[in-house]
Amino acid sequence: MRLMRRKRETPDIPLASTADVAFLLLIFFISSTVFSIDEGLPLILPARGSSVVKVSVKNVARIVVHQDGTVTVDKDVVPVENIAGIVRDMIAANDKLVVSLETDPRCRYGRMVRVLDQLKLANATRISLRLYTPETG
Amino acid sequence: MTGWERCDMLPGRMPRTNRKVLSTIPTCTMGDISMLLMIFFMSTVIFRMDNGLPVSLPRSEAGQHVPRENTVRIWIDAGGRVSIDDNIIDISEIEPIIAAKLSRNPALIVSFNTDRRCPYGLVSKAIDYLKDANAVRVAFMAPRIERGGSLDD
Repeated sequence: MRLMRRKRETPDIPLASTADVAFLLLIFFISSTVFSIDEGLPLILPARGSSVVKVSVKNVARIVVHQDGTVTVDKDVVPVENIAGIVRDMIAANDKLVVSLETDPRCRYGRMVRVLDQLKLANATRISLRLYTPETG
Repeated sequence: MTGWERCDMLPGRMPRTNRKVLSTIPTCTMGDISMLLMIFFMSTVIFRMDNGLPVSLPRSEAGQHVPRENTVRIWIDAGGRVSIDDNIIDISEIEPIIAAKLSRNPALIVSFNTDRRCPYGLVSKAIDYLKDANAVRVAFMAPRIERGGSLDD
């Protein structure tokens, strides 16, 4: 008696689409990755004990950030977003201008950065950071 | 000249029309290419090492790229806690820590990752300690407004 031999089916996983799947994942990760970039406002501080440079009063623009967030440029209250334009004009009129940024210690740090940002927008390079105390004002 | 053109030119022979030109792009190397790219990205990625403190950084319009090399981050949160290298420290400890780092790397940049709600007096105190340590290069971290957030302080 001849028995029909059963054909044995070999199990098979189709691998033809693995490359597609890998590419899909790759494209997803490439497009969704956000590289964290550090951005900030760089500044060079004067070293402790460095020689004191005397600057003429007429070459100093005094910007004060008060406790309540109001900003004054040479005692005139100005909106923060106008500072860049004002300082740019001042630098155009006097290239030796030193900007003295005085901030009240109780004022929010974000406010001071906002003003410093405006100074950077105005391409002010000579910036001095000081603490504002009512005695100095 | 190709064989096909020669065949056409023979007298008394009809041009062959049953020859099919295969127009497929070989895709069998796609897997290798994707693997290569994957290995490249896996090996070049740099993970952030320090977590710092949860801070809401101020935004800026004129923010510049601050290189990560040679940079030490000082974190100050809204509550006034100060952290360097994932250690909560007292503000007066800034001076010895930064002075030690500066002696190892004179090109050190100190970056302030300070919460926008923090009082400026604290930042000013930290700046004074940096001056004492002779660390003069500082950066106030403020991502550009294009990356999201608002300029409101």
